[in-house]
Formats: sequence, structure tokens, C-alpha cells
Amino acid sequence: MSSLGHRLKSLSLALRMIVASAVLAALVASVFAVLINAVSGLNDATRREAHAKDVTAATLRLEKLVLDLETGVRGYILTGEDGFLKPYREARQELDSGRLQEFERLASTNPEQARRARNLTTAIRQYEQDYAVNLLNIARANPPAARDFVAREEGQRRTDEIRGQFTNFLAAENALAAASAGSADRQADRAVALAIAGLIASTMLIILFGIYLARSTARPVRGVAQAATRLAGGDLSTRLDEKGPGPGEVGELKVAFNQMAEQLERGRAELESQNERLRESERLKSELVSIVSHELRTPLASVLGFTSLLLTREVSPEEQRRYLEIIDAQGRRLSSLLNDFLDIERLEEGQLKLARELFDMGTLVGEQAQLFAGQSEKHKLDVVLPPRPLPVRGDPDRMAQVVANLLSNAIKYSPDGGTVEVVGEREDDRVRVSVRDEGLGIADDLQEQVFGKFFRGDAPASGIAGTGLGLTIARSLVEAHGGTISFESATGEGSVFWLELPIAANDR
Amino acid sequence: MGGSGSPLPPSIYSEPSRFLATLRAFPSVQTGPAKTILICEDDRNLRQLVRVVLGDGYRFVEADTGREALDLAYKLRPDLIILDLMLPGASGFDVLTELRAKLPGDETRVIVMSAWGHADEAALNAGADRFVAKPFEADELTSVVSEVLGEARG
Repeated sequence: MSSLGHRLKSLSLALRMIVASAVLAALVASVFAVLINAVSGLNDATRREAHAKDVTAATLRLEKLVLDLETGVRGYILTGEDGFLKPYREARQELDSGRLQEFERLASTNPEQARRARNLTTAIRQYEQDYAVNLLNIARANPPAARDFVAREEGQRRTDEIRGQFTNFLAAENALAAASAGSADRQADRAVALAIAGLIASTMLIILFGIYLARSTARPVRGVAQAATRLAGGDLSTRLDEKGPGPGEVGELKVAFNQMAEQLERGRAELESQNERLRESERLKSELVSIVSHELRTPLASVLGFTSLLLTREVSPEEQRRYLEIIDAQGRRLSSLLNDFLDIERLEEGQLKLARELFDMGTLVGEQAQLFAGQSEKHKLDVVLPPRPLPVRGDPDRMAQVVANLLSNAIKYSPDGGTVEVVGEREDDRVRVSVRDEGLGIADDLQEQVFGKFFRGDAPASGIAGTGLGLTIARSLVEAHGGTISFESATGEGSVFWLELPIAANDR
Repeated sequence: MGGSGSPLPPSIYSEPSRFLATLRAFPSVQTGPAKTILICEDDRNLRQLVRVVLGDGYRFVEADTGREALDLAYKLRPDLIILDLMLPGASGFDVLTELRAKLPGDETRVIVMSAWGHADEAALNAGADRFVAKPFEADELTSVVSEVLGEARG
């Protein structure tokens, strides 16, 4: 039962309607069949009644003919007058013209009646041949003998017997007709009852069908409509239970509805996250402006402060020189800060135009190392380069800026000197440049911020100059070349920074 | 933490720079009539500038991180702290909030000195006595410091 119900649920709306209509049609058709059957039964009964009337009429007619025979014979014998023989002759003529055969044929519908009819016709023929004809012959030859014969009531006996048979026959016929009429009546009653029951069943079925349609179709459709209203009202998380009741079409509607809601929600989420990204970039921008102004003010405070000291106070020549050195250094710092800001700005806006030249990274690293070699007496610069070139496609000036930044950091952050090792090498399809120092290193808890803007580690406290933007720029530049930049470091042991760039297709 | 006076807890000796700063500061705390000023500023040049501008009338202690400034403040109870807001590690605001929770205002004065010119209100709300924006005028700094320390302007 439940599996049938389940199967019903999965049927399509159209199929359900067809099934329901077919059930209704079958019910109505069977009610009509019962009615038609009842009507034809009544027809049969009517026909049987008419037949019974015919049989009765034929029987009465025969009975009258037999009576005529008897009356004619008796009158002629008693009176001897020929006039009495007129009904006798007419009766015989009529009997011979096929009355008997017709009577037998009429009675042949019922085997019992047919047998009775045959007995009757035989009795009538016997009466006619054996008794009436013989007696008339006797009467013509010897009237008193015939009268004696009649007196003995032979004729009376025979006709009484025939009449008795007629009475039996008619009674049986009437009984048959009555039985037929009774069965027709019962059949009609049953048909009326069946028709009423069928009508009630059909009506109920139609009502049930309506309720079923309302429940299985209208209700789910209303659910979809309500969900659509919620969706239109802005609740994009609205979803329909796809497994709920309802025919196939409603199920498809629900699936389509959910897909639509899904799409809408995804679209809105995308817009919102886009908005969020815009807001975030706006926030970062204003933060940058704020940081930049702060970063500029700090060296500016030194420049202005020491300048005003020099202008307003008496200071010894040594102090004068120290202050001027500070002013000079801070002025330069301001200048490089501004350059770095511009670089950062252009990199972030994607406005920095990068050349797409083919160049040898090995040569570039060698040149940069040469530039830095003379700058510090405390540091020893080891340069390791392969014999073959390291072809890279990109902007050589910008790559030189990156390598210079790594070298400068290595020297700056190893204030006690030591070896700075620069290695250029080919690694599979990448060119790798690493710069290792034996300097201060970077504390574990600070390593995450190394590439962040304005990160300078402990540099400000140690008096190491810098803007805190060099590595930020370096990473942007390397990434713009399709490369990566990374480092390893341990406090007190030094750091190694390396960059990897895709190797250029060989020397073409 | 709450221990007052000597003996100094070992943390002071654990880092050379702090140790040196403590040594530099100690004699003045114990003997001199000069007031102690703790300069908490991560830019070495600016620390020097403040020192030079304020002159020889004070004893100076220097810290370049917020944590170090707090440690020194608790140990030395300086008369004045000149505090930068943008510090590595604990920010100037963190330092100020903690200071004000632990040291009474009439004992330790705080001047916030920052390149964030618009941070003045927030600094005063957090418990600073005065706010000086960077870059600052030498006269402005000297007058604010003597005002805060209750000295006659000279």
C-alpha cells in the first residue's frame, strides 16, 4: 500500500490526472452497464409476457375449437339435423389449417410446456380422428347406436380430459410468465440500487479526486509561491524541501526554484565579497596614507629639530658635525622613503611598467655584488655563479633593485661583519638567487611580518637605517615576474633570503 | 612585578641593553636632585634630539620598546615619561593604559609624543598629561616638560 502510494507520488501530474479520470470513467461505465443490463432484462420480461398472452390466446382458441367439435357432434347425433355439423366442419377446417402446429411452435420455448402441448395436440387429434369422425360415421349408418354411444358420455369424458390438460397448460404458462416478471422486477430493483451506489461512489470519487488534486498539487504550488514571495522579499536563503509531497511537475518546479535561489544567493554573496574587498582596499589605502605621513614625520622631526638646534643654540664643532650627519642621513631617508612609496603605489595599482627583456641573471648578480663589495670593510662577499648563463625574461633594472635590496639588507643586518654569500644557480626550470649573511637574524615571532610594509624588526633601536619597504617592494617585483621570494633565519645566526624566477626559453 | 625598590629582579640583568640603561639611570635616582625622564622612542636620533633639547638639567633613561619602558618605569619610578605611540611590540597606548593602572598620575607624568597628530585626544583620554606632535619645536617641548614637572619657566 505504502509502496503504491510512493509510486503514486513519483507520478507526473498529467499521469495522475489521466489515471484518476480513467478510474472515474470505468466506474461510470460499469454503472451504465448494470443499468443497460437491467433494462434489457425488463425488455425480456415484457417479451415473455407478450408471448404468454399469445400462448394463452392460442390455447383458448384451441379449447373453443375442441368445444365446437364436441357441440357439433353431440347436436347432430341427438337431433340428426345437418345444420348442427356447421361449427364441427369449421372447427375441423381450422384445426387442419395449422392451428395445432402453431400452438406447438408457440409452446416450444419451454421444454415442459412443449411436452404438454404435444400431449394436448395428440389428445385433440385422437379425439377428432378416433372419436368424432367414427361417431359421425356410426350416426349416419345407425343413429340410435350413436346416441347410445354418446349417452355413455364418452365424448364428455374425452373433452373434459382435454380441458383439464388445457387448464394445466395455461396454469404452467401463467406461472412461467409470473416467474419471468418477478425476476425482471428483482433485476430492476438491483439495477436501481447499483446505479444509486455507483452515482454515490462516483460523486465521492470526484470529490476525493478534487481534494487529492488540491493537496498534491495546489498545496505544493502554494508552497512554491510563498517561497517565491520570501525570495522576492530578499530572503535568498529560502529553499524548498525537494522530497516533499507533490507530483513530478511540482518536484521539477521545486528543483528549478532551488537552483534559481542558489544562483541568486551566490550572485549576491559574490557582490558582497566584492564590496568587502573594495572596502578593504579602501581601508588599506587610507591606512597607508596615514602610515606614510607618520613615517615621513619621524625623520622630518629629526631634520627640523636638529636644524633648529643648530640655528638657535651654541654647539661645539664636533656636535655640529654630528647633528649635520643626522640631518643628512634623515634627509636621505626621507628621499628613499618617497621613492619606495611611489614604487609601492605603482606596484599596487599595477601601473609599474616592467620591461620584458631577456637577460642573464648571473651577470646581473655579479655586477650588483661588485657594487656592494667596496662598501663595507667588515664584510667578505662570496659570489658563486655557474659557468653557463641564467636566462630570465623581465625587467633587469627592477631585478637589480631586488638583488641590491637583499645585498644591502645582508650587510645592514650583520653589523659585526662576516661573510655574505651570494649564489646564483639553475634549479630545474627555475633560476635561484640566494643571499646568506651571518648577522642578527630574525626572531621567530617576527618572521611572519618580514615582507609587510614598514617592518624593520629591531632596526630602529639598533640605529639601522631603512624604510621598511624594501622587501615589500622586492616581493611584489619578484611576483610580478612570476617568481617567489622567501627566507630562513635564526636569531644570532643570520638569515638566507632567496628568490626563484622561471627560466627563460633558452637563448632565443 | 609589584616589588618596590631593591633588590632588582633578575629580568633587569637578562638583557645587556636594559642592564646598561639601568646602570645609567640608577645614580641619579638614588642621589641627584635632578628629575628623571624616561624617553620611550624607537628612533635613536629622536631620543638624542629630546635629550639635547631638554639639556643637562635632567637624568635621562631610554627605552626603545614598550615592554622595556614599563619595566624601567616600575623599577625607577621616573618623574616623567616621554612616550612615543608607534613602538615595536606593545604600543604606546598599551604602555599608557598599563602605567595608569599601576602608577598614580601625580607621581609619574606622561607626555605622549607622536607623529600621529590626530591621536592627541585619544592619548589624553588614555591618561597622558600632555600631547606633543612630531615634528616638534624645541621651545614647545621644553616649556611643556617644565610645565608638567611643575617647574618655573626659565
